[in-house]
Amino acid sequence: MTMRSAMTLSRSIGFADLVGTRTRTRSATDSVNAKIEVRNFSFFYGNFKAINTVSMDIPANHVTAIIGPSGCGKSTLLRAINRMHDATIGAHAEGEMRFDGVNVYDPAVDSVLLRRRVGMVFQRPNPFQLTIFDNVAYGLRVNGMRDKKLIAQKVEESLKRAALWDEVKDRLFKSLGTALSGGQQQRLCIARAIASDPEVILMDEPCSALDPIASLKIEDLIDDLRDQFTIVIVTHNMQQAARVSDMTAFMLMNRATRAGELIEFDQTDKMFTAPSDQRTEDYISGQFG
Amino acid sequence: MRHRYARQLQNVHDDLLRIGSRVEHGLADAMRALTTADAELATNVVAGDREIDRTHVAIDEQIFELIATQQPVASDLRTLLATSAIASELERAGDYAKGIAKRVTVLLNQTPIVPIPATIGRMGELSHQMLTQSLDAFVKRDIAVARGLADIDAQVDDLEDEANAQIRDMIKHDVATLESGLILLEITYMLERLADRTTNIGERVIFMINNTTEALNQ
Repeated sequence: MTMRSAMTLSRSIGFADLVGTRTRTRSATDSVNAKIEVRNFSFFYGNFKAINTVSMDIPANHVTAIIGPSGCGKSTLLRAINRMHDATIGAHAEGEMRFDGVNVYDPAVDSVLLRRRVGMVFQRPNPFQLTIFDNVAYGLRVNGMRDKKLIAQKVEESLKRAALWDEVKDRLFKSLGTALSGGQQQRLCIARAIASDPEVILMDEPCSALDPIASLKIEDLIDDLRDQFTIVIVTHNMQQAARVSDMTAFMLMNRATRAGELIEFDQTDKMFTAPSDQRTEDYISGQFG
Repeated sequence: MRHRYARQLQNVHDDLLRIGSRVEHGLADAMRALTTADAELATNVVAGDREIDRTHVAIDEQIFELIATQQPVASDLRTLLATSAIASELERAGDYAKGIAKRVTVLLNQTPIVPIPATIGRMGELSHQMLTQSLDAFVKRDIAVARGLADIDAQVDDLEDEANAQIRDMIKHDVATLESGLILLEITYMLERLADRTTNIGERVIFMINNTTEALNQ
């Protein structure tokens, strides 16, 4: 890689922000379009191996769904992308989880800065006990933004991108985020996540606490966001995975080792019409799980 | 395991084999009526086609409901789509058997009585064999068996040419056989089309098994 292209990539991902002046490396075999490259990645809780040597390329500006039965390690894998397990005692990783070519488990990577680039939306909407405005502005202020006009602009823009603006614009400073409906709360959390301009949004069962109509709104929103963000979603709802994602990864727990393994990773239409592995076929057809 | 879903899939499968069996019998009876000049048997074939039509409608209704309520995917979805298409092919094949039977009843009222060329009998045997083989390919999910239909179809095409030449010769020699000859030409046409329908079934079976499209009737 030439110095010029390395610098361009560094700027585009804020690489310098993540690891200071450290030089990044990237092999010739790296996939050009992969935003996240998972390479022989294993994850442990103490001595227990929760994920065993997963390798996959998560493409940029696409929606990638991770499906599989309970206990297969899909949420562990998702959370490993932005090092959400850092605070878990004994949790550690082997292999590589590369974000734009940078292994996020490199000791030089600052996890706080990483999470600014890789946002997260959780299973249950978790708005703060703050006004709708402050919920979205919170992350901006924490990240050092002081210009009130700019903050107001970003809040409006984020709420619009999260398809919530029209429903809340008249009560931004009057209502608490927690006073919104479940579906609105989840879209507020998405607005909060995208306010700090992440490149990747991780979604851990974002619709499991929502009714079908609110779920479909979130799905529409995911569809709208796919051009601007790389989205990785864990879902128990296979039809939701089929509806919203471009790529689907199927994980399964190895009965002998109890570790989650990647069984198949392919384009979603292929996975749901003609999967290559019989275990995928059995799972998506409801034969088990 | 989704028990209700599995039972519904099995019901559709069984109904398809039921319609297939009826069409096999209809064709066999229509050809027997032709070669043995059995007007009653021909009438029975015509009447039996209604049951084939009813079963075809029932299969499509079941598949429609299954897709709407169970969201089948992957091989289940391919199987259901293939089953719906195969049911339509069988329904059309049943129509050809009925068409042959109807023409037998007309033929039996013609004078002079004309001999039935052996090539037509052979066409009937091969078409029946293809029908059975296409259903075997479906049940056994066997691509080789499905592909084997192409060779037999080519034989049926050759036999049709041969039979039609014989019928034309017959008419040339005795113009009084014109009406009967025209009916026999219609019968050879229907047998050839019925054979083509079985190759369509074979193509659907291949799609069902490996998600690829192949032409068996070039």
